[in-house]
Amino acid sequence: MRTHVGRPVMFIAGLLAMSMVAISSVAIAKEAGNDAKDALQDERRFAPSYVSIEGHKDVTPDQWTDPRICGQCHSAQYEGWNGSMHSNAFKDPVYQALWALAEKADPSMRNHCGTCHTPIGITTKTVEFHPDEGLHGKFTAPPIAEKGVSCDVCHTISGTNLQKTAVLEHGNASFIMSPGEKKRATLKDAESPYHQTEYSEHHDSSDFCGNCHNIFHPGNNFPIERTYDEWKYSIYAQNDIRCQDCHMVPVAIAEKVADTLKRPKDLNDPSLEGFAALGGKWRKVVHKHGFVGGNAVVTAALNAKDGENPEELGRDTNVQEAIARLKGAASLKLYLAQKSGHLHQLKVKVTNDRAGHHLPTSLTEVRQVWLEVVVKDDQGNELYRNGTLTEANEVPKEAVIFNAHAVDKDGQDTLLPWEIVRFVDVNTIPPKGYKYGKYYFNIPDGVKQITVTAKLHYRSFSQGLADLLLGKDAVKVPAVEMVALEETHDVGGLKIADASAH
Amino acid sequence: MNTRIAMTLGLCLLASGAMADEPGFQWNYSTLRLIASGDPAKGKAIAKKHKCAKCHGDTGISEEDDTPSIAGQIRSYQFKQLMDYKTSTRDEKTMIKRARKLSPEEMADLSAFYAAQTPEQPPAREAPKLATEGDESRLLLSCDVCHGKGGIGYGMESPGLRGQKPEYFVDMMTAFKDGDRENDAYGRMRFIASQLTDDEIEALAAYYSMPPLPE
Repeated sequence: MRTHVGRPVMFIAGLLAMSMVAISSVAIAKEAGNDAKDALQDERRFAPSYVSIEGHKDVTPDQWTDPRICGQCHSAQYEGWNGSMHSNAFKDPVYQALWALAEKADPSMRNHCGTCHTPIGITTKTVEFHPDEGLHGKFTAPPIAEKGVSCDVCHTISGTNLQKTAVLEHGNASFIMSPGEKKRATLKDAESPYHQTEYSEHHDSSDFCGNCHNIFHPGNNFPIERTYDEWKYSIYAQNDIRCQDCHMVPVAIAEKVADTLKRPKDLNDPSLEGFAALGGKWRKVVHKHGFVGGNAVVTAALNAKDGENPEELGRDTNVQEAIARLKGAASLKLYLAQKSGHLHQLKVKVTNDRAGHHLPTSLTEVRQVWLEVVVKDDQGNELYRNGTLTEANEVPKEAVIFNAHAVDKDGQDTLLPWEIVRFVDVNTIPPKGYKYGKYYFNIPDGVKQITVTAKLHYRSFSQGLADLLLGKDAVKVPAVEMVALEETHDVGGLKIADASAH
Repeated sequence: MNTRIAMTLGLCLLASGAMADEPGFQWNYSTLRLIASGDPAKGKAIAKKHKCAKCHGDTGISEEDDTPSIAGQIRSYQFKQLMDYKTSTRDEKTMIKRARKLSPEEMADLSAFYAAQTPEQPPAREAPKLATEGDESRLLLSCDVCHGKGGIGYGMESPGLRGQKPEYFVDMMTAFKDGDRENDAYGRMRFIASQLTDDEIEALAAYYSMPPLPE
């Protein structure tokens, strides 16, 4: 029998049921929210860098192999890597000092900088900072982590997180690490009695390198180091020439690659042949693992060769290789013209012939590529000089310098990457592109001939930055003369300068 | 631990090392094709002409404990050793003298002949830990990694060890250890041998080699 009493009961029961549904919905939603949050935290466990561990597992340093073990079968590769900037990525005193300043300014910079310089140290959370050691502080890590970008770091990378980055591009350590028995590389038929092997197309692409050689500011996303981007929109990328094609072959081959825009494997050069591993097959191309670029300064500074330490192997080679690469990268052309009366104009054309990225690249606000010009008359009297290093070993302000000019949020000049908000001037030279240095000077009456000497110099950083990072007068920063050109011109035969010329 | 890695001593690549001193010779695909084209029948005749049997036996099995057996040895390894003797990269007066009389083609034929011979089989013994597991604390890979299980040999830089003469085995390991033998690419064997004690070398010799011949 239905009574009036039943309705309130049913109503209450209905409310209760609805409440329970609502409560459980909230719980489910909360749980789902937590899951999503946890998943996000898992993906960005080493934020602000984008590195991740396959399966988001916890890892320990002993999961990576000591490069000296790798070197016993892959000796050529070990010799190239050892003493390279990759092997010094953690130990580099310039980097250590800059990293220490970054840590003091913003502790999140530990992961941002460290993940490309000691991927093992960051992902195992074993990096320690000692703020009172050295000038600015010192970082330490377990021995395998202090070996920087070592064999097993790269050869156990299994993927990229590029689609998770804020700029949807490679960079800021956007790689996935999978330490273990499986070593990944570019040979499809590799076999090893010591480890498992897996073919990896990723390792054969510039994208692989771009995971670290493309850095944007983790706060404002401003692209600070654009080496990968510079390559991606270059004639090299258009011709399928990849980072490895220049940086994993001897300099003579790299120059051929740049000149012909052919990949090393298509050059059929017997000097590239050899064994990729002890007991392995003879290969048409065996890659060098020094990844040499333009940094001869740090490589040379760490060249304390004593013959007793296996870590010393290979350094001289890498220093010489870096210098050779710098010397082959660019060319100069001179154009001299009369402007009016005694006033003459000299234009120096600097062409980036062989770098598949801008010249310079990487920390372009720090690197220094500049012109030095000297003009003398037929009696040897100096008529004009520009770009000669000052007594303080600095590039003079009036010099023509190819780099970027960075400022902080207040528009003040800065060389500290974490302070950079924008570049206010960019004068780097794109691949196969050119820029001019322009000079004006007077030639007195009676001079019949002048001799013009132009030199292009390179150094990784200024004396001022070295003083800041390493201490006043701790080092005198050396420069490499990339290319020089001397020409003698008859003054009477010069044409009036045409503003539209060149 | 002696951390000296003898790789520091042997930087010369095969391709750019002493073998480049042999006029017109370099390690490349053509060399490998030459080695592969070696004719055992021709090699037998060359062995006879140069009286190789006097030291290495008719079929490459030595009758002296301090003279290597070369039967069944990897042909590319044998070719490299002959070339190393020819260019004095490997130091042994008799072999240098003999190898200088050989052309690369003859070396390929000789290597093919001895590679085709059957090596002696040492009695089964328990493998020392160094042979199968190595010792990571001394950065030593197991011998198996480079020389194959039981020392069967892998290639030009990884000779077969099984059935070798015991005294010769110890002599060579000691020569690597002391830096007297230097034709190992990147000084790999010099590094490995420098980490081993004399007892360990003896134990490895006992495992891989034939028992000593009766006095």
